Amino acid sequence: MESILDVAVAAIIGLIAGVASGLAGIGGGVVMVPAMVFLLDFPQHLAQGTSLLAIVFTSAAGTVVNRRNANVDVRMALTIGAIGAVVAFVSARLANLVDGDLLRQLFGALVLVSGVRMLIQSLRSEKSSESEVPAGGEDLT
Amino acid sequence: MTTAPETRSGFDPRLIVIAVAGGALSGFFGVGGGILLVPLILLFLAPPRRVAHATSLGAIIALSIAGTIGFALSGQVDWVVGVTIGAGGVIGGAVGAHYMNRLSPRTLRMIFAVVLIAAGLRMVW
Repeated sequence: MESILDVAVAAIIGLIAGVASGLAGIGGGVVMVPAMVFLLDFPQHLAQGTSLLAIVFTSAAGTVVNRRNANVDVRMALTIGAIGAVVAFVSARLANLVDGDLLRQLFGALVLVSGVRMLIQSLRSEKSSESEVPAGGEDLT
Repeated sequence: MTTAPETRSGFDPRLIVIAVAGGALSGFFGVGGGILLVPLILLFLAPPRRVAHATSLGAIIALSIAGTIGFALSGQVDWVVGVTIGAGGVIGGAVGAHYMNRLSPRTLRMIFAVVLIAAGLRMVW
């Protein structure tokens, strides 16, 4: 059972991950999973499963806004979503067969790559100082 | 004579590549998968950048639901924490998107980048 403190920390993790994705163009999962591991003492698997649940809400809310702005290619999203969901389910089952320490290390590599990429992007956008294009980066949703 | 809208009616097999890559990353690592989906959509289908982002996020709804079920089958979902983080994320995302149009997030990006690098290193070792 979660303590009140855990829930409060969870709310803060969500806020920071949300601001990070909206403001800095970085994905929720890459922020939320390490935050749960370090701040809530979650084992790697539990952090990843819980991250996916949180992403259900954030992606749905974002898509409501994007639909209003007519930016979603619905046909493409449905096709990728349908096929990708099957693969995601199988991958999630596979991840649960992997040792937690190994999974944490692999995830760490993903976080590292995301961080380095983001650093390069922000340094690059510093040089071309006037360009307010979000550093030409892809959101790491 | 008949210039049928083949691009809209035909199925593009490259969508399978995009879906498999994004789904595999999302399910295995418990992330959205946009880090792969967005660049692959841009590479193969070349829509406007904002459409690639929005379409990726739409697909991620399905990926994250499927992945959540996959982890839940092993009891690896904390429902209270997940819903709470999700609610915080929705609010934080709205705030972040709102301010993105007003200030240059360069410094913040750099701070986040350094924090990520530190967290990544600590997870690897």
